Amino acid sequence: MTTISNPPDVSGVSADIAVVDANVDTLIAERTRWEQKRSASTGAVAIPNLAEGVLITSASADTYGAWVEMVASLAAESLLFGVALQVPSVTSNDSSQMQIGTGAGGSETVVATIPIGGELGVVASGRNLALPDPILVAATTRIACRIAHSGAAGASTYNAQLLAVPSASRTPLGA
Amino acid sequence: MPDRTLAGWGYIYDATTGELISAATVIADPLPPALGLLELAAPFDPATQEWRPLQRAFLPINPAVLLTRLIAERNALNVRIAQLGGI
Repeated sequence: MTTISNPPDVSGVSADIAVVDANVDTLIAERTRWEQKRSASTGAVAIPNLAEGVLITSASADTYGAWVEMVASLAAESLLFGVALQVPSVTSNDSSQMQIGTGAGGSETVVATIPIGGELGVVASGRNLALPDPILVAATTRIACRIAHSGAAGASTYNAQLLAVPSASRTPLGA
Repeated sequence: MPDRTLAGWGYIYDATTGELISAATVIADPLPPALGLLELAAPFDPATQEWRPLQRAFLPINPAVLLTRLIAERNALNVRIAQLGGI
């Protein structure tokens, strides 16, 4: 029988294992998230769906207006991938940017910022914008948006809907 | 932070400046101390009302502001018509 005269110091190993476990969990969650992004979808919906868009008004020049609620409680986990906007008339080379936030009113957290290009002399018109990176949002989440506009004239009002695909309507590619 | 669902609409504003922060039917509970809340039974009408930070309330839009908006809209239409080669 071999006797270990100087056993290795294992103090702290449990903590290291816990860290590794947490990292593995994070990697698995991230992989799942990407697999969900790489999927075929058959059920894109607008938020709000089959209803008039939500009016969002910017504040003074280059300042975000108030958050406006797009949905109080998302019905199902969904992948946000775009925005359908009716932009107001512009008389100069104004541009805007929009933010999407999640969380209750008064504690919104920004999850995306989307630049909205301007065009001189555009009359109020519709425009669809893709998110730079789709966002997976959990069911029951409140989603709100706000907009900043570069024009010095003051507040501008946009009509907006978010575009999303509920997870239940997505099928992993190659499945 | 827990949430609270309102019966109507909540308008959350900066308690110091009156700046409107958020329009919501679900709000943080409790709200951060620097924020105030105006509760309304129905959403405000953006076509006829605007937020007034000093009063912390929605009041009728100043007619002069409405006129300015209409003029801007007309000017934008004229620019677009000119771009398209006129009528």
